[in-house]
Amino acid sequence: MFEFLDDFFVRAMVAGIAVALIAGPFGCLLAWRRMAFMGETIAHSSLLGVVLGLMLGVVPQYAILFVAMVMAVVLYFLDKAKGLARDVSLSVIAHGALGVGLFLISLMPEVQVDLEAYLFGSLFAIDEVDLLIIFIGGGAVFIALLVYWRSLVAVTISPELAYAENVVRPEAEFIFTLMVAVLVAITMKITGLLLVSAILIIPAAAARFISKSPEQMAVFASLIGMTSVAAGLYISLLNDVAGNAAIIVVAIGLFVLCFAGSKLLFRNH
Amino acid sequence: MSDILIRAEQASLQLGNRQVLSAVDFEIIAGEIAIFIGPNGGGKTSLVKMLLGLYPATEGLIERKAGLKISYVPQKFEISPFLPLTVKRLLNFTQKYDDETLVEALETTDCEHLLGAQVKQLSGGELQRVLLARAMISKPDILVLDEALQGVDQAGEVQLNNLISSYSKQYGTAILMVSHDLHLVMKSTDKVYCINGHICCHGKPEQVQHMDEFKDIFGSLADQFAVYTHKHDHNHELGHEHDENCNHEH
Repeated sequence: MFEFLDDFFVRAMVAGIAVALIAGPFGCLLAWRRMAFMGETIAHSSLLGVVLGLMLGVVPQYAILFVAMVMAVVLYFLDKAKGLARDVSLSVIAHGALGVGLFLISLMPEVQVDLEAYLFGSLFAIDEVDLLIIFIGGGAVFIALLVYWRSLVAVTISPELAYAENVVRPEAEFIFTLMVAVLVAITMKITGLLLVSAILIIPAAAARFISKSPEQMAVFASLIGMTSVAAGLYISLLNDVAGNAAIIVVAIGLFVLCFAGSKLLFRNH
Repeated sequence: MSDILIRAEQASLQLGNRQVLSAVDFEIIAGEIAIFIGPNGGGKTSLVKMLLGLYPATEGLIERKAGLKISYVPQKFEISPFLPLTVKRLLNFTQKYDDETLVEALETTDCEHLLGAQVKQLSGGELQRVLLARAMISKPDILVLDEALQGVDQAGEVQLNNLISSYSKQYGTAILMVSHDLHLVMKSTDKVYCINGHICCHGKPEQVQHMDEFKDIFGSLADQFAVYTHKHDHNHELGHEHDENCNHEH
């Protein structure tokens, strides 16, 4: 019944569009909260997941997911402790994790790790495990997003008001952190760890120019992301260029288009 | 007493290495109007945040009545420049209302024309009017206003102060206000608390002005305060007759 998923291109398309759909609203939340670098930090730690998977003999995708969630929890508590400035602590963790990951991998000369696949993704090598993680993980994240949306937006508008007036579900922020981790882990496969932020942030940034409300911006970001994936993949099929790069190029194109369009249409605002 | 809304008992607050507040005893009852005054850095805003539960007390006890409905206008309200948000969505963000209710609320603070405006484009005074309307719309048990009228022009300030006190009377809403401006002490204020690292003194406005702690903190400003309260007493005499405790009718 799922024979159509046998084709690598169809698998890439389905996975890419599913991820872009969820990435839209999350990219908005991260951008609004000036947390754009958080996704990247979690992504940088994924090499640690690869190492962990190799050491324990676990499928790397599951190990990456696990490490991403651990990192997210660490970031959550670091943020609560408010020790270092957020950008400094994120930078230390991101590059620290990447460095340690590379170091450990180079200690294991007997294993061949395709570093490029982790750095730039392997969009056309999506297998059943990836699809399973994308649908189960992505589905869970999407449902959680709908459940917690009002709480998350309320905290975004004003944490003080939201908490003082008691309109936040107490677990919302912690769940949000875990959701970002799962999203980043599944996005990794498509964009690679270096470009995770691109698919999260560029569509949100483009949507900002043409939106009047948080909900509108979230929907536009999803649409822009999905359009980028679909168009980018076709471009890569026709011209034999890297799929993830083509997606980002289309996204940037849409960003410029939204910017120019908003300047022309709303000039008098 | 069941109509105590928020109570602090020997509550202290430490932020980082700094002892911000020590051994605060405080309570506010239903319908009461209390005002915090004191110098910058004296801990007025921190005390408000501690009472609201935004800062957990380092020592001592904070109690809020179960199910207490709070509305809050914080001292600083800055939304992310990246967030598109209309005034309408801001008014709806904790609870949903129909347009008619929203316009009515905005009319009370003279800003009904801003319903469709983007929050980012409001002036400081307009934003405060919108936030005040937002705070009143849910008919809370207590309205917490931290320098809520900053940026509002002087005529507006008088008008909004009157609005706040009449709102309190109409709905029996307790009001907790922070100000560093003695002029803001309203004629209907029930209790004044002078805060400088602790509650230095408190009482009715006309009592507090004679206390030594008050004079120590405010120096020459205390005289202005005296003139102000004297003036409003005088105004009262011009009207119809009141007994001495007329401020406390509920």
